[in-house]
Amino acid sequence: MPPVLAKLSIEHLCVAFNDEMPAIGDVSLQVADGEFVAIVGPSGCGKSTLLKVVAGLQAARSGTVKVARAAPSDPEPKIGFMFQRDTLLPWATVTSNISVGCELSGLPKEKHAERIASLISLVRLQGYENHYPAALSGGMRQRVSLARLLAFEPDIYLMDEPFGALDYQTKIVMGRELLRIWEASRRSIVFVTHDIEEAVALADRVIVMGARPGRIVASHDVVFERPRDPRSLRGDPRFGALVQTIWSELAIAD
Amino acid sequence: MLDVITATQRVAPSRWSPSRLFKSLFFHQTVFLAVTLLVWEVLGAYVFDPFWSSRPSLIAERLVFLAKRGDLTWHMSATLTEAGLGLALGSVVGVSLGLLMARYTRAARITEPLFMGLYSLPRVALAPLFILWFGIGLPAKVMMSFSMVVFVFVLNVLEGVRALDRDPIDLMRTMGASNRYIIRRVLLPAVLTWIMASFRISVGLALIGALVGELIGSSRGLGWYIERSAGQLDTTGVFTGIIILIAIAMVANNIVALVSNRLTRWRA
Ligand SMILES: Nc1ncnc2c1ncn2[C@@H]1O[C@H](COP(=O)(O)OP(=O)(O)O)[C@@H](O)[C@H]1O
Ligand SMILES: [Mg+2]
Repeated sequence: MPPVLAKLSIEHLCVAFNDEMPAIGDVSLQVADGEFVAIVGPSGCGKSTLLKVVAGLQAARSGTVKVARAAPSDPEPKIGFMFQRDTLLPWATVTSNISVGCELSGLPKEKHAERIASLISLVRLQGYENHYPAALSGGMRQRVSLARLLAFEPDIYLMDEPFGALDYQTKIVMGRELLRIWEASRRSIVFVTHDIEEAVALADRVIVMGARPGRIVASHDVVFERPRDPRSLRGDPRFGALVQTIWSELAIAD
Repeated sequence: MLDVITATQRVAPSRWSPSRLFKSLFFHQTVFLAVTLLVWEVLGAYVFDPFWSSRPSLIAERLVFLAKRGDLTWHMSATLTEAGLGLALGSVVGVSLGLLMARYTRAARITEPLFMGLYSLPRVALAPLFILWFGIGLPAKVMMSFSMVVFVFVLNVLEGVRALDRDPIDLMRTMGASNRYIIRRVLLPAVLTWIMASFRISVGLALIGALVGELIGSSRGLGWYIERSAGQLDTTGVFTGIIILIAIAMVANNIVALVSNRLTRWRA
């Protein structure tokens, strides 16, 4: 038995659309409390589907998915999902969009303003409180999405290529910000990406998936110390070696 | 990040100046209108027989005359009441029906051909029926206006719900949002833009409905005044009625546009 209780426990999961070849065949994965797990894999290997099953948006054919509650008194585990596409409400201001997270978290209403204000400064959006999403850049919109997610205070974060639509520079900055925020709270994260360097730079563990059917082909512990600065990692020879290894595994898996 | 704010603050406040006025669109529009009226006046006085074309000066005279006698408010209020009530009723019924049809998809699919058929029907054809059913008073015109606008709201609201972005809804569901919450936070604001678009289309249609009703049978209203003037070969009367209608339509359209822009400010 692992010493830390698993936050997320997936056992022999199989997901199929229609009667074809399953999109996910027999995947098992444990995510420890406070662990940052990245999943990489070719497009179509079932990464998004896996997250959707965990979030309850997609039914499984067989297998079990368990998310541990934060406290035994909680009725349901709180699952925070973040899509690659920003899913902000276009008619709501930055503040109002973030407050969706507060409202659904069950936080007493009188505490909303305070939490929103602290999150806005955390994701560095001061001065944009009353802006609508259409007036923000892609990076800023994802910051708002992130703040909304944090406002919800989920037990586990499911992030589906959250920075995938951003330009390289912004993506690096967002990754660093995510680490900064995550290192302060240490909630479990499952972070899907197709960027191997991003996965290695951020995660405690990188899961490599293969396609047809979607399955786990490798798992790598990433040993760089925390807190880490993704920028300085890139010069580390171990970083390059791990990225190289995963590269070759993906090439084979494909 | 803060540059943006200082940049907007640095934009000079627009100040009034003569050269600015002469370049403004409003100024050019006013000049164009004045020239048009002048040409009409001259043509009406020296080229065409004013019996056919009337003249702006005659129309202005008539407007003052009607206003003094109280006829202007008498006819205008009738037409505005008919169109206004028709629009109000049409929007309430149309939005409700649209939401119901969006909710009960099976029933919607069954009834959609009927709605599309009624929508395609030139509603003018219903006027005699409404006169028969409701007489030549207010209700027939309200129904006429109502029939012009109700389908606009039904179809727009239905389309608005169908065009809803699923992702934010899925996201809120994973966060444990109730149906009520999703309706309040996503559905209603999304549909509101479609409702406002419906209003923009419907203002003119509601007026058409009221007018058609009045032309076919009435004892009051701008349509009646135009019809009666034409019957008496009073071209100035006809033009006066038309000018009032144009003014009403323009003011109403501007009000709706203003409200609509306020409510959809988020569309950058
Ligand atoms: N709603 C769906 N209906 C049918 N097939 C789907 C659906 N969603 C995903 N798939 C299929 O499942 C597979 C995995 O998709 P997805 O999880 O989106 O992959 P990834 O996120 O890794 O790119 C793909 O082959 C895709 O075509
Ligand atoms: Mg995907």
